[in-house]
Amino acid sequence: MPRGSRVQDDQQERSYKSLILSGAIAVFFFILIARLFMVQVIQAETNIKLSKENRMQLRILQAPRGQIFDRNGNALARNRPSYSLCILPYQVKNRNKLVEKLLKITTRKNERIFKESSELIARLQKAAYRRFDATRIKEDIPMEITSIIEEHSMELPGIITEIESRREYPLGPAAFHVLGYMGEIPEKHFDSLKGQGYHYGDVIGKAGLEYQYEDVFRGESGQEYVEVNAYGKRLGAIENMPRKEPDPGYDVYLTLDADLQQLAYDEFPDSLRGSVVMLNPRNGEVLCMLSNPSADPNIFSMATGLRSKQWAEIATDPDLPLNNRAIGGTYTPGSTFKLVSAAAGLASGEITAKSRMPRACTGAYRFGNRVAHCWYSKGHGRLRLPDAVKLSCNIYFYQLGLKLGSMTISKYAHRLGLGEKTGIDLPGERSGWICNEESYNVRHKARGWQWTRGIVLDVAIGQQHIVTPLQLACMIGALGNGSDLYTPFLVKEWRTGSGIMVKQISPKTKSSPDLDSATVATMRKIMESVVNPGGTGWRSAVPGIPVGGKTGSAEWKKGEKTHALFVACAPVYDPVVAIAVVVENAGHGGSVAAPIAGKLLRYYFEHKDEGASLVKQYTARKNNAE
Amino acid sequence: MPELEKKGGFDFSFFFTAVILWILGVLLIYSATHIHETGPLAGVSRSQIIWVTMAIVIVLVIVSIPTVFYYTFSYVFYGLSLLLLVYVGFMGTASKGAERWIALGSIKLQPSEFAKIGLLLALARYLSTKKISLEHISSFLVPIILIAVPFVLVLKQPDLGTALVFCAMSLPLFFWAGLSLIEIFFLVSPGISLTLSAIPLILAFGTDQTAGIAGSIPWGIFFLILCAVLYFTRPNMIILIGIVVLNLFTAGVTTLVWNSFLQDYQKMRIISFIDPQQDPAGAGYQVIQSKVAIGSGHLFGKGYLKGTQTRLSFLPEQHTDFIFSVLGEQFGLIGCTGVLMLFLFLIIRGYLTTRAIRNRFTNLLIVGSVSIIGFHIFVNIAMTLGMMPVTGLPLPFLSYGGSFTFTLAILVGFILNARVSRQDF
Repeated sequence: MPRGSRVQDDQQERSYKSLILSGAIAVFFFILIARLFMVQVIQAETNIKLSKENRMQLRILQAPRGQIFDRNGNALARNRPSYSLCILPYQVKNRNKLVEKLLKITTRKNERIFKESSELIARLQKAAYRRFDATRIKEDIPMEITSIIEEHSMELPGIITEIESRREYPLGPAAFHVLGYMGEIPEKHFDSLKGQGYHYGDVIGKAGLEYQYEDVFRGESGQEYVEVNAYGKRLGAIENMPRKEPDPGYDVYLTLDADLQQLAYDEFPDSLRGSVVMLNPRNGEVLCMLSNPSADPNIFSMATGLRSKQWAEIATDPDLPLNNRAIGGTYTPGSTFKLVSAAAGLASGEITAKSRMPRACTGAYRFGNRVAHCWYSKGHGRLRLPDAVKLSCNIYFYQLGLKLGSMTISKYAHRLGLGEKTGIDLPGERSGWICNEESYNVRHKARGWQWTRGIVLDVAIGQQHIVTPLQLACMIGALGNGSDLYTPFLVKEWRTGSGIMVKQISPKTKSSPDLDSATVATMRKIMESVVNPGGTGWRSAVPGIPVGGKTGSAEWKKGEKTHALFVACAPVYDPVVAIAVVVENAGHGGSVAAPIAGKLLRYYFEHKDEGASLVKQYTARKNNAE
Repeated sequence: MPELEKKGGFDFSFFFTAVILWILGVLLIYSATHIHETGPLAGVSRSQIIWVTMAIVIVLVIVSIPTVFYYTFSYVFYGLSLLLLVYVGFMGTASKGAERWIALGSIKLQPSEFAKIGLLLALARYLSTKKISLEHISSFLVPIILIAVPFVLVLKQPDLGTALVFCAMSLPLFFWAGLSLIEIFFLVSPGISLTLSAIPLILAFGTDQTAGIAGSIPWGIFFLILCAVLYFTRPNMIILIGIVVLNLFTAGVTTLVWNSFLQDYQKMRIISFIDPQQDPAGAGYQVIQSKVAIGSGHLFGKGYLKGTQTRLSFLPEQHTDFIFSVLGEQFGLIGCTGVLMLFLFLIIRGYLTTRAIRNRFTNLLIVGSVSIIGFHIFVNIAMTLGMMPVTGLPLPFLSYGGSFTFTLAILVGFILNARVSRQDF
């Protein structure tokens, strides 16, 4: 006999316990009945009123999205009101009749808002899947149409108008990559965002700052219960129902300067690809950031039909206009990298400004069984460092590279911020890559390539490496500055709509180039000589301000024009601006990239307060010295 | 109860009441969904007819198996239900964001449902041979482990509702197995401490004031009552200190966690769980609409298939968790009270069955089954009336759903399985 039979409950105890349990349940049921009495009898009147013809509708009160301003308070992104036509399918009694009526609606100019009945019917059929949701059937309709709809709401059951706000970007394509754009949440991402308070059909930042600072811009939507009549028209909020006011998003102020941004866009050759980055090396504030080709972010706020057509063009453009080349474009630095090799040589004590290399430049250099060339086939002769940089002599740097080794050069490249993400507050930044013995073997392991000592020749003159224009601007800024490399940033602060400060971003040092003062001084002189008359970068000179820079013409494909590069900082002895210009497939840095930089620098020192006051100081100092 | 023996032990009135409720459920589900000619809700009532038919077969199968079978294999069932829970934790297909289902072809199984059965069998088996008492803390060790394992697994899903079912079903079982009402009170006192200490914090959130001393008064009063009870009942020293410390600890930790660790958005989530009306677009939307629907039913209701609120389906879950609002709108206070009476009849009749049965395992199985059903009924209806958080517990007999209907059928089967003739094993 199994054990179970041994354990028995006492008869009396069983009665007592089952009564206690029954009693407890009865108490709970009494509570439910009391509550039912309250809801169904005492509050019945209110509830019956609310339920009549289902008059209650929950309405989302969209929070106004925060605006974007530049450093001087010029609007870069703002909101405009827009009306759209929606349908509540469950209120539609006769679809064919409704289609007939909708097709009749015209503007004053006699333009019909719905062109084809087949398109409209398709939209209504699609909307019918969400019977109780208002589904948009026409976006961005003219104001006059909304009043027509309101007047005829009795004849158009189930049709309602909704007001929403759309994003507008005054600078258009000039600031596309920095600001980003807005778009509807894709259906497949909707589930994961629902928990964060997003609703179906909401728009969300898709790229650039709109994406990066979505949470700052967005605010928090509110809700209210509105009474709706049998035709779907909203009569107003219902009293005594919970209501939540929307919380507007914060306005964001950038470090960007709209004038410089516009100028960069205007000066950059329309048909060419490339990028311009200008920043303040004293704190990392980015003054302008351009990537070309660009797109107009306003098209993403257009009505769907127009948008999808233009979007298709942009998305399929082989020049990849959606790619922000300033942070996502990776380029060979070419001769601009010679500044890094020079600084590495000086700082490591291997050379001085006066030392020459053992072999003279004859236009070619034999290493093992490889012959490497200088761009100047007649040969530069035996140069000292300043002239070697100024004339961009490859032969000098081949020998410097052999002397220093790839690890030393790459160490200084990293200290100057190359080959790693700068940490700018934008999505999609790429890190680039600095070539040295170790990283080469790791990167090319799959191909089975092994490092050979000859590669150090390429390393020293800036071939092999991959950097972004933003890194180049940081690099030249840090070389001029000598002490600190700041993390570049775009958002300075955000405020409430009424101007109350919410958060201020303070500059952050990323790393220190760790160069001794003698090296810094020599490097400044060398950089200045590049821009001075006779140097390759003379087209970027600014009257009254000593500019330091370096040109580069990077080979990227045999038989194609080189990428033109130019980096500069000014004033070179204590820079307030650093600039990097990259123009793809365009020729020489000195003739293509330097003039663009020159225009921006001259504009800065003529028209911007910070620049103009410096010009005054420098002229006064010069006059005193004389 | 002599009639049990007379009629061969099968409680026909219990069985037919259950069947009537099931049929009523099908009718309500039809009323809630019949306007959907296409889409996911079309034909829902037809599949419920299939579930219910299968449920009745399950009841009859469960009834026909001798009780000794369940006794013998109780731990095996428990182990299997745990395995299913673990399996769904790794492999389950995502459904509504939480991993809760196992897909068997077109049928989706919810292992947390079967864990209720598994835990019930295991606890009934264990408690049928052991007496438990607060005087011997060690007597709790095994039951606590038995509860804790599925509790944690289910909580991870996360399915708070089912986790609460595990706790709620254990209390009547403990009571049956020897705990006095006072001891039950001690056992739940930390839970009460947690609730009372959290209320002032929640009320103060969103206003500018911080919860001051005044906010601690409700908890203070409760704590004094607890101390008074402890003084008069004089349990042994370890219990006494344990209970006092545990209550102070939960109250303290609640305050500390709330003030120092939780972010505002996490607090909002807790608040909208406890008071859904704070979140009118989310959980609150359903509760508000459900209250309006029930309230608009008034005394006699709008009539079958004539509900406007529920018919227009503003409630996304109205055929499952919010089915009671369909009943309330269409049949009014009279209908609701009627159904509540049928429920109450089932529960009390279920509990009273134990008076005829000497076998402790059988009785524990009955008490547990009835308690699970009762807990679901109370929590679900209280939720549709806006008195309780939305936990996702369905309403027995009336809600749509395969897994839960099967669980319920098994529980009903356990209750009907009790026979005087079978009690000696």
